[in-house]
Amino acid sequence: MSSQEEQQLQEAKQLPTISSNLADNLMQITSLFEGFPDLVIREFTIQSTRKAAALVYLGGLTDKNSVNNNVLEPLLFQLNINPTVSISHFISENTWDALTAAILGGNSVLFVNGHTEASILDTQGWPQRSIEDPQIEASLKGAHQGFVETGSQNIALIRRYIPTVDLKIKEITVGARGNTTVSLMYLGDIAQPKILEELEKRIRKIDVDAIINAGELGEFIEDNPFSPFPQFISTERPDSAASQLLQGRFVMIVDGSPNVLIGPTTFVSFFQSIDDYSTRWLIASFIRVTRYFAFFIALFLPAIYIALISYNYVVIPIKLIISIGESRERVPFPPFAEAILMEITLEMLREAGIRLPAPIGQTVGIVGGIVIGQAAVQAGIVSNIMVIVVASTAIASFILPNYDMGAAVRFLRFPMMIIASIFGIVGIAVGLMTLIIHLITLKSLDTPYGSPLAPVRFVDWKDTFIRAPLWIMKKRPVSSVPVQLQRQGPTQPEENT
Amino acid sequence: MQNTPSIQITWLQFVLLIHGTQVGVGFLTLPRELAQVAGSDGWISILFGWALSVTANLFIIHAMKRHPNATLFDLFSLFFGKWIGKPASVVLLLYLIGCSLAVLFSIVSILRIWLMPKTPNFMFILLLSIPTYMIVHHGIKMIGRYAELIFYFSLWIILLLAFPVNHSRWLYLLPFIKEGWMPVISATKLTILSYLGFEITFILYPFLMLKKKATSAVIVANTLTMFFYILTTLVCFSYFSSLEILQYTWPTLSLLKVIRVQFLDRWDVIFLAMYMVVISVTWIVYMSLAVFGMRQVLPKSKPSITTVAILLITLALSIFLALSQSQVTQMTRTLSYIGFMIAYVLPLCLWCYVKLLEGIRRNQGGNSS
Repeated sequence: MSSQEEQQLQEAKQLPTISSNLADNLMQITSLFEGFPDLVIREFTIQSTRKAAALVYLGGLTDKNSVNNNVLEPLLFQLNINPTVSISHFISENTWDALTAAILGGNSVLFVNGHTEASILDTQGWPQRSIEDPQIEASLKGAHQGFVETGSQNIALIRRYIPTVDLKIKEITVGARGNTTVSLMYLGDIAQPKILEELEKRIRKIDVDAIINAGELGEFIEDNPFSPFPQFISTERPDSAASQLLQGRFVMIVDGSPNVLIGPTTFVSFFQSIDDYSTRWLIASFIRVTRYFAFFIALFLPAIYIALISYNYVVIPIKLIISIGESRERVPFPPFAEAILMEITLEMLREAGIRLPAPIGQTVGIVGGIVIGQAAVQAGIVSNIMVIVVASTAIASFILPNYDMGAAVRFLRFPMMIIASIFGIVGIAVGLMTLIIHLITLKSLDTPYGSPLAPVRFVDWKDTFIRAPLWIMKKRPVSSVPVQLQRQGPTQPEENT
Repeated sequence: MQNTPSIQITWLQFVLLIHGTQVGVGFLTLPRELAQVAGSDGWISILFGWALSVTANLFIIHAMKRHPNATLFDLFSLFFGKWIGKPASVVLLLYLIGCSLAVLFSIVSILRIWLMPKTPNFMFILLLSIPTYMIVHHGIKMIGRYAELIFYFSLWIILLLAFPVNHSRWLYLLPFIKEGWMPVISATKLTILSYLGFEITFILYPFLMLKKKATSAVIVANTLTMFFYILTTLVCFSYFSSLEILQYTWPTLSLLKVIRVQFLDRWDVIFLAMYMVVISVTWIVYMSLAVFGMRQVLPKSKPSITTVAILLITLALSIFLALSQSQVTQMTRTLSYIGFMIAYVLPLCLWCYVKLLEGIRRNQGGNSS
């Protein structure tokens, strides 16, 4: 069997182009597509030319209506009309490679007896999900359309926001087996060509079987794979992607993935949400400041608790330390063990809540949060204060609008706790220092990740800690290294009436 | 041998690098040292010290101007040839490493005394090596960014000084010049050493983006440092009487002990931990310049390997020489004198040398034509 297959393969290799004999071609097709029960070979005679022909397609990947109405019907029944088929996209090919790829991609191929070229007809139509509200990045005031799994639809969703010829797309095929199309989208006159070059180089360098999701692409092309921080924004919202494009960044759309990647990014861009720009600026600024505060809480609060209780208790006022002491009276563990226990329980609860169906997930939340929390305190395993610390940490870590950044924070909390349990408050200071240094030296597509904080770019601070009123933000962010900075025209002189 | 550095730092980074290197551990002890020599008039010496340091710094700039792309390492070989240049470079290198170690050991010893008496020295060094390694081998550009960010980060620390001001008696500062000018002038010697750190201009100057602004940059940097010193010293002097202050080794820290808010006692503990982050700029700058210098002396050395080597030496020293507080002070003092030679005497000599060379060249030119 295997030798037979090999022989067939060799035959296929021997014949790179199709022959003029229809029967030969069909034999070749059947041998190439052995083990494809959904391969349809429809043989018929073309009415207008009286020639034998065959239409070949994969049943599951083609739009049946299109095939029947636009291809078969005209070919079979219409007379003397040229060109006969009413399909928008139409290519002639003669190599087997191209034809096989076309069939696998959902196109139909029309072989006509006596012709050395076959026509590829665009009849793609595979099972699709309808465009829905984004799941992870819920929107309050933004659009409710989220990306879907089809790359071309995602491109269309973004195009709707920026209908200009400057919106360029570069298609790169990635993966030896997957042949996944990665579409690189950017504004030709704004985005930095150097970054484009670098990005393209990195994507072309990828040599794997297949890329299934955008996250995989990100991991292959990011600057520092050892960093816990995300180096590309992964979004499922077209409005967010369009907004980033307008700021001069690049959007990478992986066909088959409902998330797109955006780069180059900076640390602060993970604290910005597209909703910020449609909320009143004072309120948006307030929320943004809260996010930074939450970032520090989520990162350092358990560590600070451990450091203060185990080493630097002199810092806590007498009254407070008495009440903490009372709460910790029955707890047999050192604060570090207590904290680790609760934090890991919390992380497990969170993961369990995500993986379970929504109704059970809620039950897990209630059982975990309330029952275990309360029971653990009553049993004297953890102190009340620890429960408060862990709960506020958890809430703080969920405020961050970006999931990847939230995950990074949740992860980094543990090293901070360990260092605090060994070195107390000095450990936290060193942890902070290490974090700052890591963020300074990190790069995203060779642009500094710490910008606009380090290197300091004061012009960008308008959209960093606060969200300044839109009419003040006349320039694009410098940190995305755009070629063209001006984003709003000079203010029109007001007409006096 | 002049190599144009491809990396450049901005004016602000240049200023804050110098300022960050200047403000070191001395900041914590300076008020007491000044009070010992000059009583409550010590703060005037800071002004004198400022004038001297700015002058010396301007001399450095002037000496560097002729060869804008050469660091001191290049200048040594340029002026004195290979045979004197190399050993001079090695001395400078050792000085840089020594300064870095001195700062590192000082902060560790203070941390041990104030916060964690039971933790051994080498544990702290091991801990601090991690962030130090992470940034030092990246070179001067990253150090510039770090200095800049840490400066903003440290601004809130100054606000802490507002708390003791409530309890201060400004009458302690009176009368002015109670014992004549002599004590003030002799205390200036102390302050001069506190301004040390500007000698890094010798190496940083070629990296500055706009060389024309170097003069303003060094003036701003030194003034910033002076502002920090004067502020702390004045607050200390007005809070403690001139006798009381002598009892405290680190008056700046003792000062903060009084701050009490409802949710936090003992701000000095938090201050010290945060101040360690601020001081990290000093040792990181010195160390990265040493790593940079290593490439000038041994062109084939790799920054990351040099950094690891320096850190390993530090670790070994901390394990085998259990340095006591007084030994660290002694080490700092010795280095200060070398620093004094490099920062104040060397620029003058270089300047004279450059003038002399020019004079000779002009004469020769005159003869030949």
